[in-house]
Amino acid sequence: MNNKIKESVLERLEREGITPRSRLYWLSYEYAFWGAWLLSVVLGAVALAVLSFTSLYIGYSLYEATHQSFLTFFFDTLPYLWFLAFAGLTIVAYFNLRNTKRGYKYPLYLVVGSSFGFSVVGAVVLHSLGAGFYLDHYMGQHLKSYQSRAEFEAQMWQNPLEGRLLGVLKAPSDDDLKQVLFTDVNNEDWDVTITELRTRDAELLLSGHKVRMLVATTTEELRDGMIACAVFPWILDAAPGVERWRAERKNFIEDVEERRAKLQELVKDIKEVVKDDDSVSPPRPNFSTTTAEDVVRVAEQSPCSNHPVFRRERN
Amino acid sequence: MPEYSDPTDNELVAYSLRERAFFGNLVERYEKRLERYITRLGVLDPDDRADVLQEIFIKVYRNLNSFDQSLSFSAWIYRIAHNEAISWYRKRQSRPEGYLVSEGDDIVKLIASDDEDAEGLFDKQINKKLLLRALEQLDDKYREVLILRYFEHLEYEDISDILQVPTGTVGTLVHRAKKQLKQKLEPLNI
Repeated sequence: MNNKIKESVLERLEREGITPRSRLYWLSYEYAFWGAWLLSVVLGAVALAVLSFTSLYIGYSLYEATHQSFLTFFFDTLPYLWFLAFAGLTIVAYFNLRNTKRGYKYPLYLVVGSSFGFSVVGAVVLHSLGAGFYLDHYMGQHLKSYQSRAEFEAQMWQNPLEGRLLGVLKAPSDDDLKQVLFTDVNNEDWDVTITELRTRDAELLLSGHKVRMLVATTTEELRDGMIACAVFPWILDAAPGVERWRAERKNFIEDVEERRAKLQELVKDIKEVVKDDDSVSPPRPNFSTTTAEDVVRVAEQSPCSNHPVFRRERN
Repeated sequence: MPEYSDPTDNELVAYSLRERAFFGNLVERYEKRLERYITRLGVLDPDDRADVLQEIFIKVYRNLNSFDQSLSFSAWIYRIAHNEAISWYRKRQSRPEGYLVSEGDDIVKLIASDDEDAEGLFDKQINKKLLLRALEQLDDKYREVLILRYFEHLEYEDISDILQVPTGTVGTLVHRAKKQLKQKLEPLNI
């Protein structure tokens, strides 16, 4: 058989006019894999940039205001799509690199590590340029099935039944600025009492910027007797920096702490008054028949103290 | 043909790209080795073997420009032969049946030499037929790597190029193949 093989091969090459594929063909074949690898790494970097944006800015600073616990918040807000996209693109990059001429020679950790590593480096650069925010925002605007982080946050905050509103101040309702007309993102108007707000929060609301607001109601009818408890800026109209989130978290903690401190101060005052009944001046309530605990109980029944966020924080 | 009486593989590749007739020299140089190799991989019928062999060389010629001169031509052509044999099994939808011609006893010594645990086992006189049966029962990837290492006497580097796996993986495969072979031989009381 062997003697025939050489003849039959050469004869077939001649008969069928078989020629070696050009160098260019093989070069383009090789470059196609490298190109596909590079594309996967770049897309992986983009996915990771959006993933990092959506993970870092998932509204952690105010999670107590939107979720019952950190765990429910974590699983509700995790950007699964981008996790899957990044993992998928890393796998695609791995296979493309493996299929290059010498790709099989590299150990697994090097192939996966390089694809992963380059994507991470690219993502850091893209993230620092705010690309994650812009892509997320762009996709939210152009893809019906995609919900951007801003839309997700808006959906969480526009929920009057849960005591959260997202919108802007329309106009003060009265002259002494105790009540304002607030328009939410669904274009519904709300009369909101702002006397319980801290000065900083009231200023923010009155600035006319889009804000997130924690509200409480005094009646069963939502529209009546709505009281603003805290105001936070809406910061997802542009790529926010981590510093801004930290400042927001700090502000929220301060808000909660301030309310707690006020309550403690009130308790202290009352105890002193009860102890030294003679010093009570006429304008102050008559505490002779009331214990400090009773007063605290009454204070705690104020709408804002009863807001789920502050109640949870207090507990 | 140029002045060299015994040109290297790489030179023959270069000549073949310029003049088809030189490819005949490459065919002559590798036809026996590759025939033996695909036989070991399980292409037993002489007519099938001739067809597979012809396809291998046609493919080699067609892909000559993809050969990386910095690698071993021998490993490259084995790679094509390996793929063609696998492809032949797939077309026939059959599992390869290793047919290990007449080198069984030497192979046993070679396999044993790298594995201290298996040494005692392989020091015994092994019935060649039983060994062949055990080899046939191995997973394809293990049988392939044992064939390349102990029947084709190839280095890890070349096996790495043929199977397209990292060199470290070849070592792992050889080790596991021997372990599996030992397990297959145990019930046979060897």
